[in-house]
Formats: sequence, C-alpha cells, structure tokens
Amino acid sequence: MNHYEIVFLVHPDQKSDSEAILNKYCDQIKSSNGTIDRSENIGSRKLAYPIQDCYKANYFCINVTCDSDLIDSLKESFKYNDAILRHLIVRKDEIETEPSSLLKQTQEDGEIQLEEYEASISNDDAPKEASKIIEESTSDNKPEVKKEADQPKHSSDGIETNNENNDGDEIKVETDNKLKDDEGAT
Amino acid sequence: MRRKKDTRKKNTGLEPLVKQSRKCRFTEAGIKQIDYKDVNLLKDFINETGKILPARLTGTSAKYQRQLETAIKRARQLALLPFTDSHYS
Repeated sequence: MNHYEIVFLVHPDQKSDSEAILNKYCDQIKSSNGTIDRSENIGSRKLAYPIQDCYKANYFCINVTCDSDLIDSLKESFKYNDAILRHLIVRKDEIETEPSSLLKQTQEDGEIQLEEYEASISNDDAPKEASKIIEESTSDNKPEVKKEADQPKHSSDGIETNNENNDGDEIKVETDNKLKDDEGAT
Repeated sequence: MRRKKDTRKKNTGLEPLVKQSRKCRFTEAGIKQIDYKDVNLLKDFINETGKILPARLTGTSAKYQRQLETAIKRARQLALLPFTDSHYS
C-alpha cells in the first residue's frame, strides 16, 4: 500500500458532469480496497497553453492510499476517456489531508475576478449617482446665489454686491471642478 | 598629494548586473518538499519566456533546485505553467 496523488483535467464541456466523474473514480478506488485521504474539485482554471483547442479545464485532485494494481487500472481508464485532457499520478511519502495550495489559489483568483467584476459594475453605476448628486447640488446652489443676490439690493452697497457675485462665480467653478473630477473617475 | 587607490569593485561581466536575493527561500522557510501545485511560488522561479532560472541568480540551494526543477516540469505537464511565451499569440 502506497500513497498516491492523482491530478486530472476534465474537458470544459463536461462541466455539468464533473462531480459525477469525480464520484465515479472515488467509487472505483473504494471498491478495490483503496482509501481516499482527500478529494478536491478544484474547478475551472485558465490553461497556460491550449490543449485540444480548450482554453479552460476543470481540475481535480485525489489523494489515495492503495496498491499499485489499482493505479495501473486507473491510468488505463484515464487513457481511454476522451473527457480527460491530462492526468498526473505521483507517489507521495506522506498522507495529505489539508486543502491543497492549488485549491486555495484558484479560489483566491476566483474571488479577485468576482471583485473586479463587481467593481466594474459599481463603476458603471457610479457616474449616474454622481450626476444625480451634481444635479442636486446645482439645484441647491442656485437659490442660495439668488438669495445672496437679493440681499445686496436691500443693502445698496455696490462693493458688497460685487464680492457676492464673485462668490457665486466661485460656486460655479467648484461645480465645474466636481464635473471634471467625475469625468476623470469614469 | 597621493591619490587614494580606487577600491570599488569593477564589473567583470561575470556577475549579474541586477543581483537578486542570494538566500535560499526554501531553506529559510523550512519547506520539506516543493509542491508542484503551488503555482504562485513556482512563478517566481521562471523568467518571462518560461525558462527555469538558474540557482546562481535566485540563490536556491542545490537540494531545492533539484526539487524545483521537477516541480516546474510537473506543473508544465498540467498546463499550470507555460513551456514558452508563444503559446497564445
């Protein structure tokens, strides 16, 4: 009885049957007195190079303790199964039960991709929200300017009115800047 | 006044211009066996064309360089690492 690690790649068209394929090989190992230490459905990964015109494949990893006869029969079955693109069987010195680094890394990559996707969606939403805010802010500013413009009429000081007109200009400049910033963000 | 002798090292052409870390990462981390499934780790030991970097550049000890070689070659078989940079063109 030796410890082995079996990694195989399944054709992306068989994605729906991927669990069934894993279970099929697990049952075959169990039926011939082998013990499964770890079985992982790592999931879809982008290949470093295309195999049979496939750019993605589903990875599986099984750690077993069994006889060499079973390994020979497994190799034979891998060879004549068209759904399996590649396989690798390695003898190990120790039993491994912790989740493999490949599983962790693919999950992390998947999370990163999800985050990027969500970020892209939120970016699409952001300008709409920002434009709404600008509309609100401009609508808020206009009455304030009017009020300021109304006040000097009562006070009848020419200099103050000029100053307040300048203030109004500044507010406009600020809103322009906001618009520019939002354009830069998009 | 006597001039001081120039003690700076001259580049003889044998040493790499950009020196990488000269300590073995695996010895420092105390790794028992290099895992061929750890793609993020192995990526540091291939160059942009997919070739395995020599130990004299990475500072890997001879024991781990041998393990690293088999690990990278296994990862290539499973399409985890590229053989060259011209697979997708």
